[in-house]
Parts: sequence; C-alpha cells; structure tokens
Amino acid sequence: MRREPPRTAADYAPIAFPALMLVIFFVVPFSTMIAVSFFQRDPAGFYSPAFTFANYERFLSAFFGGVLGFSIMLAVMVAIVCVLVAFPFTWLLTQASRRVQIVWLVAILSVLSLSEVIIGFAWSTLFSRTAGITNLLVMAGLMAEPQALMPGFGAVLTAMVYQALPYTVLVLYPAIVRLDPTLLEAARTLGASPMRAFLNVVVPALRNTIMATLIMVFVFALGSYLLPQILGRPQHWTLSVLITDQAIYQSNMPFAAAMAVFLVLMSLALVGLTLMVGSQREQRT
Amino acid sequence: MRKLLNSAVSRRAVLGAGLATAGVLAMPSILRAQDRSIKVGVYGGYFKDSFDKHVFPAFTEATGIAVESVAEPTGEAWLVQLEQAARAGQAPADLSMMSQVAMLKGQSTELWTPIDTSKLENADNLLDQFVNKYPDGRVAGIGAVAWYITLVTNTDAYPEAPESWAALWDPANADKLGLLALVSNSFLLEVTAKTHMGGTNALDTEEGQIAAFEKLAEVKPNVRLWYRDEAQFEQALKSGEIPMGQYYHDVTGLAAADGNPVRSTFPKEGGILDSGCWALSRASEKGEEAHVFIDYMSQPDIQALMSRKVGTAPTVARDLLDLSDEEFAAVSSDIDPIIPRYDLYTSKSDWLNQKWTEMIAG
Amino acid sequence: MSAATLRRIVFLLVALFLAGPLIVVAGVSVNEKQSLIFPRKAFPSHGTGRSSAIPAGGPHW
Repeated sequence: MRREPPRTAADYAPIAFPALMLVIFFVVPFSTMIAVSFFQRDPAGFYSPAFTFANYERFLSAFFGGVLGFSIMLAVMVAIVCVLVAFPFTWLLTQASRRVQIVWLVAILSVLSLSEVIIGFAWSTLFSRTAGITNLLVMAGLMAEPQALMPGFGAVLTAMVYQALPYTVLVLYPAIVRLDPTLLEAARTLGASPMRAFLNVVVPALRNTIMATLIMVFVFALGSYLLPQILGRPQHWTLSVLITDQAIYQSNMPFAAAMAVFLVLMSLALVGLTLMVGSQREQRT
Repeated sequence: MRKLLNSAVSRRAVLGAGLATAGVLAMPSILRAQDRSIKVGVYGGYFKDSFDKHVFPAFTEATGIAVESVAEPTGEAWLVQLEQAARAGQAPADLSMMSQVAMLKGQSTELWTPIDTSKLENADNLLDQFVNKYPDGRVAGIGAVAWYITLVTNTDAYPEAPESWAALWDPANADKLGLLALVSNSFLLEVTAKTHMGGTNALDTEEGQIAAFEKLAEVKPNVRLWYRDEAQFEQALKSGEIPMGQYYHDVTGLAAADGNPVRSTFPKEGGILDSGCWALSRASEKGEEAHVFIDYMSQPDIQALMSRKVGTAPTVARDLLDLSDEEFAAVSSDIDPIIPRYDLYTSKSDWLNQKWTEMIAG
Repeated sequence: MSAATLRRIVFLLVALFLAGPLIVVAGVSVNEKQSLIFPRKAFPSHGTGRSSAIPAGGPHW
C-alpha cells in the first residue's frame, strides 16, 4: 500500500473520531482542572472563578516539595522493580510452550481483576502480625515469633509492584514475542551463553520497549493513593493522597487542582527528559 | 417480595416487569405511600442499613409518607454536591444527615431551608446542642443522631481498661495506636486541650492551637495507623494488631457484643460527642413531609428505639426516655463530654488542615 | 544450573507472588466467621460513613 499525504479535508476524516475522543476525554477535563487551579477558594467548601496564584504559592513549600519528591521516587522505584522482575520473566515465558504461555497470560489477566482496595487489604493481611506470612516462617522454624511487616515503605512498594506487574508483563509480551529469533540464534552460534545472549542481544534490541514500559509503569504508579494509605505511615503518603484529602475531605478543589496540575507537569517533564536522553543516545550509536 | 419493594428502584423495576397487580395486592400501604414521599440522605453503610431496617418502614407505616433513602458521604463531599445541585434547582435528597461542620458551611450559602419549630410537636424535647441555628436565630437543622468517639482497647492486650486520654501519650503504648487521620474528624486537638490544657477554650487563640499541635505531636511515636477507613482500624483492633485507639462507642459496643475482645471506655476527661443534623435543601419541594419526618424522629420513643437498635446517643433529654441505666450506658455517659470546636473547622479549616498534615506526615 | 531449572524457579517465585493475595481473597470469600483476622468487612461496606467521605459500599469499588 502506497501512502500519500492527505490533500483534502476528507482525507483527514479518519482521524476525526479519535481527535474528538481526545478532546472530550482529555483536553476538556484537563483544561477544566487547569482553570479551577487558578480559582478562588471559598473556605465554606466551594470556589468562585478568579485568577489567583494563591493555590500554587501554597504548594511551593518544603513540605509539599518533599511529598512530591517522595511520590516521584516511589513511582520510579515501582517502575524499575516491575521491569526488573517482568522482563526476564516475560522472556522466559515466550520461550515456553504455547499451552504454558496461555495459562500464564490467563492467570495474569485474573490478577488484573483485583481492585486497588482488594490488593491493599490482601497485602495488609499478608503483612500483619496476627495472620501474615511471618506466621508461616514461624511454623517452618525460621523465625522466633510472628512480626508485622507493615506499615512501612517495603509494604507499600510490594503492593504497588503487585498492582503494576500484570500490566508490565502484558505490555512487554507482544514486543518480546515479536523479537526476531535469528538474532539470538546468531549470538548462540557465535558462542554466547544463554545468559550472555539475553543480556547483550535481547535487552539492547528491546531498549525502546523497556523505556516505554518504564514510563508507563511510572505514570501508572504516580496515581496510586489507596495503597500508601493502607500500607504506609504518613511519611509514605504520596501527593495523590494529599490531593484526595484536599478534593474530597477539605473540598478545596482549587488547591487539589493546582497540586494535580503540578504532578502532571512534573511527570510530563520527567517523561520528556527520559525520551530526550534516549533519542540522543540513539543518534550517537 | 417485601425486600424488593423496599427500595424505590426495585419497586419501579417490579412494576415495569408487569407485576403491578401483585404489588398492589401484596403491599397496599406502599402504594398508598407513594402519593407522598421524601428522599432522605443518610450516611452510607451501617447507618443506612440500620435506618432502612428499623426506622424508615415504621415511619412510612405511621405517616403514609414513603422514604427513599440515599447513601451519602459524610460532610463536605455531600455538601458540595447538594450546593451544586441546589444552584441548578435540584435536590439529590430533600433531607440530609449532615455533620456539624457541613451545617455551618451550608449556612454561609443559605443552603438550608429554615425549619419551622412551631410545626414540630416534639421540638421542646430536644437538647439545646442538637438545634443548629443560623446566626440570626433561624433553625438550620435538627439533631438526627449523636454518637461518642471514645478510647477503645483490645481486652486481650489490655486486661485493665485505660482511665484517661493521657494513655495516648504513654510511652508504654509505642506503635500501638490507631487514630483518625484528619484534624476535622479526629477532634484530637480538643482531646489534647481537655486533657493537658484545662479545656477546649485553650484553643481560642492561635497560640493555644499551636501549643495543642506541639503537645499532640508527642503522640506520633505511639501511632501505628492514622486511619481514614473505619473498617481498617476496627479489624486491626479486633485482631489485636493495633490494640488501642480512638473509635466510635456504638460500633465498638456491637463488636464486643459479637464476642470480639474489644472495649470502649469513656475516659475521665469525657468522650468526644459528635452528631449529625437533619437539614432541608433549599431546592427541595418537600418541606411539609420534611417537617413531619423531623418531628417523628424527635419523639422520645423513636430516640429510645434508635439507641437500642442503632446504638446512637439520644438527642432528647434523658428523663423523657424509658431507657434503663444499662441501656443508657451502652450509648452514652454522664461524664461531661468533649464537644468539638466546630467553629474552628469553619473559620480556620485550611490553616488547621495544613498544620495537621505537616504534623503527622512531616 | 540449566535453563529449564532457572525458568522453573522464576516461574515459581512469580506464581507465589501473584497467588498470595488471590489466596487471601479466595480464603476469605468462603469464610463467614466474623472474627476472622482478615478485614473482610473492610471491603468498603462496613464503615459507618462518619469518618470517610466516600460512602461505604458506594459505587466506587
């Protein structure tokens, strides 16, 4: 099929529908949020149209800076751990038989059916002193007495990785499956061990996929607000938790909107930076 | 069938399915009641379940007014929805159960239609603190339910009940407490003021509020969980995972009655007495029905029924009630309660919220 | 260590990780005992709504 540049308005018709959807479901809500972030807060719980920077000023403090930094750090760690676990796993999965692959993919899809709340409470049980996994370790004689593994950073990280892992596998799977098998065969023929071939051929060949997956998981994890509440201490609360507090409990929509805009901008900047670094490296090679 | 007919949506569905005749024959009172109806917003979950079971059917039977109950979130979220709907002339519920802070905030936009107490036969029964008034004296809302937040403990972990809120500060309780996560629903500033500063009047000034925050910050090492979800703490308390904290007296009593190793104690400084009001949206056209409903709910008999069945503290004077000492003790206490400083959460809500968040998360 | 063994170990670890919460959810869904440690009622249906701004048992989950 030969591609021709669109000439008439009719040639653009096929993109009208996606464009419309993008406007309705992204541009309109996001613009509304930006507008509200400049509105005047009325302590009675409402807000009135205005143009004030007060909401942004309030956000610019060491306290909120610290929370923002922690949220981004947490999301980055979730993304890295997810890819570190999911990439080798998905690679091994594509090497397995068709039947094994199908069973695994169905199992992974079933994990997706768990909501954030259920994941949170399930892990809070597994990490509890009274009914948690440490009881199994005690039974096995590996520990003297059961311990609570939550609240804490590890508990938050584990549950967030659990939540994002199925998506990570499902995003990586098609790319890895499509990887040209002759690449690996060539490496093996030239004498590379399977581990070496994986690290030196498969990983570099899929660098862009890995980067895209990292970004997806990062953005996904940035929005998490229930797991840090259920499994963390207050210092592990993310900016999303504070946004929820402001929006739902304090009904301070303008401030909540300003924080959300800030969070979106920061993540866009990080994603942009990552892509820029990636493309520069590509040019050099 | 009876169960289906209890909710309006199902009722419509049943009628729509062509079973109208069966419905008429089975439930004549419901059909008659449809002539007059009222939508009542009640806190979702336990309260809505209890009201649907013990209160609304009896009300419909007594007055012929059908009740459609609406599950509402507490306080502010529902307040915002009501206000936005009222601006568009809509009322998602005619009457709503509103928190005291939400009552004050709604007053500022005249969201509440004033209640005419001359239409309420039982108005004189009500205790003063349960009549919410506009600054000019018009009645904005009438006490719906009242409850205590007390000091709760797991009886396995604490064989002896604590006597004072000072237990929250006791270094022996390190990493053992579950406390509410927000300044405006935990009322811990008031608890601090009453326990360590001579009374909630200490919070009148900003210096006093800052001193209370500083004193309260000392409990942080003892706190395991700052909870937003009640059920999360309740389960942890029952299992002993988090053996002490602040919680609702009524549901703790129900849990203890179910055989769980928990107890609720009124500390010597008093339990925190919080309450919700019935308030009528200005967009509602069911003023008449709303007055009938509020009057019905304010009867001593009904208040006693709610104390027995729902576990709430009565909003009318105790001597009008036929509650035994034991029944009264199950829902209330003669110890002078800690009354929250709702005024602060209206006038200084953002400042208090900011200080609070910095204190617990900082 | 052979490739097959490595694969089995990785599969086992991932399976255990993924299955943990599923087992808790499954175990709890068949157990009616109220005193069970797992916050069964805590699937947001039990809160009295006085502290949470989200209606218990509401449409959120």
